[in-house]
Amino acid sequence: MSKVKTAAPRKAGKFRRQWPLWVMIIPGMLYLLINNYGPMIGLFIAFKKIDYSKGIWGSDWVGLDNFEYLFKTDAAFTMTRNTILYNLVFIVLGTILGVAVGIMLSELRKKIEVKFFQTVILLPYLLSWVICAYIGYAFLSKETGLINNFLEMLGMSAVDWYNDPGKWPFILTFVHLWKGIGYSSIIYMASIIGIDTSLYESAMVDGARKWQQIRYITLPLLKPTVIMLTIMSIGRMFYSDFGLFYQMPMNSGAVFSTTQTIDTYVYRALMQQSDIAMSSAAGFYQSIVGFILVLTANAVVRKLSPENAMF
Amino acid sequence: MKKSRVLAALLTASMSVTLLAGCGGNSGESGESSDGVESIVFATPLVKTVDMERIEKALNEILEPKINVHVDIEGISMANYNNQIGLMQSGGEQLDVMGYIGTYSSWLSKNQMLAMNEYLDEYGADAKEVIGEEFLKSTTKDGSVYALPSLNGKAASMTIVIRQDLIDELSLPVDQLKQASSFEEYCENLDLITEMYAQIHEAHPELACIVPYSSNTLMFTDTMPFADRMNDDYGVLMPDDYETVANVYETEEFETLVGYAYDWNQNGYVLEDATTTQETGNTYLMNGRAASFFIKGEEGQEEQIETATGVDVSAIKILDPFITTTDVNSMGFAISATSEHPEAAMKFLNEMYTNPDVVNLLDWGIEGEDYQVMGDGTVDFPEGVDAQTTQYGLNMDYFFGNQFIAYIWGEGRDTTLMQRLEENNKTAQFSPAMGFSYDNSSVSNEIAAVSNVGAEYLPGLRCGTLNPDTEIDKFNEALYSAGLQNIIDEKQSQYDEWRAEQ
Repeated sequence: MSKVKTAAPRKAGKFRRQWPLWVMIIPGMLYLLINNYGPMIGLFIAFKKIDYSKGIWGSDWVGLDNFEYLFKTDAAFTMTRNTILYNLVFIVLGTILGVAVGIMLSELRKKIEVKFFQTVILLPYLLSWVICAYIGYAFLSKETGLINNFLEMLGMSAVDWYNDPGKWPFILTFVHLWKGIGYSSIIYMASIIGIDTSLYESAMVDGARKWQQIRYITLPLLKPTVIMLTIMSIGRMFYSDFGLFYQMPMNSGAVFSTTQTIDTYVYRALMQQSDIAMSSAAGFYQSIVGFILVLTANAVVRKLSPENAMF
Repeated sequence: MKKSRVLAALLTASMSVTLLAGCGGNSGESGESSDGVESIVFATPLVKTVDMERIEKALNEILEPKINVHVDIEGISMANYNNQIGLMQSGGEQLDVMGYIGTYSSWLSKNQMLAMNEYLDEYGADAKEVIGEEFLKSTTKDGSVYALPSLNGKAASMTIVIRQDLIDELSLPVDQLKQASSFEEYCENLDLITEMYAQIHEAHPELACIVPYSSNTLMFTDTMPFADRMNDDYGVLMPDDYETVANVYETEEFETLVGYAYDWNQNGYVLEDATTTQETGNTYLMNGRAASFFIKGEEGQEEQIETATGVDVSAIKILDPFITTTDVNSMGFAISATSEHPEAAMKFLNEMYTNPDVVNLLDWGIEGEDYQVMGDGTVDFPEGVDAQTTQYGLNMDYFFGNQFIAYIWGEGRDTTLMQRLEENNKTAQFSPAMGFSYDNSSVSNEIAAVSNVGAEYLPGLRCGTLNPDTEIDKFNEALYSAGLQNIIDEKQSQYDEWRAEQ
């Protein structure tokens, strides 16, 4: 690398040296184009009434008809409210806990301890939602659930978890954090490890205690990462983790008032009809709102602390 | 240094090439080969992953010499099936014959099937004959036939399955249960069953008297006797007036039925996890938790459940069968709207309804490898093969074409079964709306909304965890605010139009 720096900085020469890097970008760019940008062409399906005998391109345009079912009923309010509120809670609690766990992990000195705790915390992230749902079922089921058995042993009456909507905001938040915290804490831990250790050394010389080090060195230096991750999650505010909201409550109808989100609504709405136009409409709606939210969040950040804005 | 750079470049280049190559791909070999054999693609949903290549080879050995058609079987797992078909049709892949389970009306509203009248008359006359006028009505819209329904026992009726040892031990009066021909008689049956449950519950409090057979419903609560569900239960024809589309959830009969479920639940007869369990009734029977469950079944249920669970049961029909359009067109075979070989497709379909060799091959696999013919005329596993080791074992004999010309599986089973099923199909009562199928595309927004309302309330009502006195009203209110009235009106106007044409 040091050789490169001393070489003549002529433009043509630069390209001659760097072309393998450019070539290496090609597969990634192609992947991005094919997988992320190509399918955007398909958005037009949201405005069509699909008729296979005419083909997708030849089907009739129907304007915004396909979007109607998302806004039509009282359910529209419930699902939008749930989606947004859950996401807000997840963003706030997820960030706080993620940073906390990240700091704790980075404070561990023995390598074996780090590995052990990391693995234990990350494990739930790797489980599929169906498995998580059954783990939950083993605790909450009315027939055989551990919690209910325990309650009955103590002489209390069993709780009908899957029929009580009031309990689910807590259960879902808990499960979300249990499952996701390992992954986000690793991201924070990675940026903590990147912090120059000389900062801590000089702070210690000045007599700063652990808490003060965290307060005045770690947290301020983590700020850019936190802001970036938060802006990204705000962009996904109109999406919800389908597995969490559909599988965890075992698709129990009685708790819809607190578990129905946009994604589960769309799934249930189109189970019978399997209408690709209506599902594209839902996706289109979610991404437009997400796009606007990202722009807004970023604009706010740019106003408050310009150096932390993403673009 | 230089060498490794060249190597890296080569590597990236080759990577991008493979990436591009992945995008091209098999558009499928199609069309006519030199010897005049026409190739068609036959897509079918499968209940499990099996190697269809062997079957395909054997199938073509029958078909090529006989009707000059080569069939490529495209077996697709049930869960992805509908999506795959949509992709094949919109992506321009060859697709000619497609089986379906439960998607007829959705395909109809999206024009995914070809009107097959002319081909049916010319190349499928025999199939047309065996299916019969009455059943073919169920897949006919405005005079055009869009599919051939699978031929099997359609006259399914509400049946209660009770453990035989409990019947013997408590001498339950099961012989007093009769096939009801009216709602009142049906309720008498349910009263009798309530008494039996009380007996079972008293003697064996550890048993769940009744468990859901599948999908979180006690079954008897979502089948209105002698009503035509008209495809989806949102707007039905009730027996007191077969001319007016009504909201079944507002009827007294519905309240009565879910009232039974609620009472049973209150008395502790129902499995506590009924609304959330993902297990089937068979599992609960097998592990000794269930005393009984309801199914909608035909002859031969007892044997099927006993083979599946190893538990001795009695299956008693408690309601006369009532055949509606959706009972008949719920599964069958259509020709793709994108097909370029409809004649060949029809020739193949004709074989599937009339040629026992073709049907047995698709139902049971290859003779000698997957099944063998037993002395009593049934078929069973050959030496050294069982349910675990079999290479085929789809057991989809109810699906592939004509079940009545296929072998019966299971040595020792009653070989008159097929005759009885066929007989029941003819003698059963048909809905006056038989042949009416409705196109829901103009109310798809409303259906999306009411489906969600249904998913919220129905499991609870059907399993008796929700109190009908308060919840039915809330349910109906939610349904109407989701646009149920529009669906009913649309159904009514389509139904009136259809009746005027009859």
